Amino acid sequence: MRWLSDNFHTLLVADWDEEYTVFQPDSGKTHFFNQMSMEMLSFLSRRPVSIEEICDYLSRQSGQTPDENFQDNIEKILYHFNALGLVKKEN
Amino acid sequence: MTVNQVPFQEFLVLLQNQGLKVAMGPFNVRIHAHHRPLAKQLYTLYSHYRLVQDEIAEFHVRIATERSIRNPLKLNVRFLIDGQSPFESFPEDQALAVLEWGINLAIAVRVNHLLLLHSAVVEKEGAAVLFPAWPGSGKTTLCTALCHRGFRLFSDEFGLMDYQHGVFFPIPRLMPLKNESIAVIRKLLPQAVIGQPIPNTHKGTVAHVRPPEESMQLSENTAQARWIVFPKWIAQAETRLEPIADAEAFMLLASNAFNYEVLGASGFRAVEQLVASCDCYTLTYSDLDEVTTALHHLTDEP
Repeated sequence: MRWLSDNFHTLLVADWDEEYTVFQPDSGKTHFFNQMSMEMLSFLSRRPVSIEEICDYLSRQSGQTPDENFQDNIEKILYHFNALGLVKKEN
Repeated sequence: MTVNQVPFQEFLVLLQNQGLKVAMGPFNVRIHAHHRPLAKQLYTLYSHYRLVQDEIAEFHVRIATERSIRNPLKLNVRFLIDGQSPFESFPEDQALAVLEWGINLAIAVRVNHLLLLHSAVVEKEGAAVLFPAWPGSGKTTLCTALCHRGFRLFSDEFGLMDYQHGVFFPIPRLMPLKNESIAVIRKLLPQAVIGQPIPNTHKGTVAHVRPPEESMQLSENTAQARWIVFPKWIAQAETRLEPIADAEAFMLLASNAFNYEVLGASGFRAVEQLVASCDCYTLTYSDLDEVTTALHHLTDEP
């Protein structure tokens, strides 16, 4: 299964020094994201990617070694983003 | 011409017949009422309001009197806007409070060309301070103190932001003190003109403070905001003014606006512009002297 953000380009983003407020025109909702969440969405907007690729990318960006908990956490965030309509799954 | 420049009899005739048309910040409001006690209160408390003659009124409101169904000997009052009644009727001694709440409701529901914050706003030397807060945080009491001590009143209730031009409109109106804050302000500001306390409203006892004359005279002078302060009155608390992160201020402000979601992307950009141009703080306080000093200190910094 791969994940994709196909509406990232529609989001309005205000950058507050590694914290972000993001307006999603599709839902009319405003979200508060940290740096990692924004990097994840930006990465997902380039092409569909697996969770392993996401974890690998984010760990390289943050300089952390991914462990099992890291992947679980990323997966939770993806499902949360999916519920908000920010990402979708591709089988 | 202001209300205090016409004799009471003429004022009464206006209120009862063609309607009393007064400016409230960027809006004109036409008020009809056949209720002499209300007319007397308005004549005193609206004394510095500008009378409007050849301008269109955005809001047409009326205080109608009716007999109580439960007790036909008792008079009730009902607020009407464009002939529609958004509330139940209330005891007649609450007429002034009902009128003011009704006008608040009309503004909150109908104004969507401005970003409408639930916020007290005062101004000093051309820069506005916003105090966004929901009911119960003490913003009316704080605002009353500030606008009698060196700040100009914009509003105790609404931050009206013209987001096309990045400025706030003043809308100085009566400030409804509630319960214990009435005695606090009477003691602190003996010069303040305060209406008769109105007991047993759904907010307890309410007494309205007349806006200072100077604030009314300058009510067409807009200002840009420079500080956003989220206030909270807490009994016995020390005065603490602490900076908060811009992103947090953004989310607090967006959740505080009446029409943020209605405005969509424009609302988002308006809040972004506002936060980017202001220093943002949280404020806890209990002592009005202390907090006034602290806010003068904040706004005096270069």
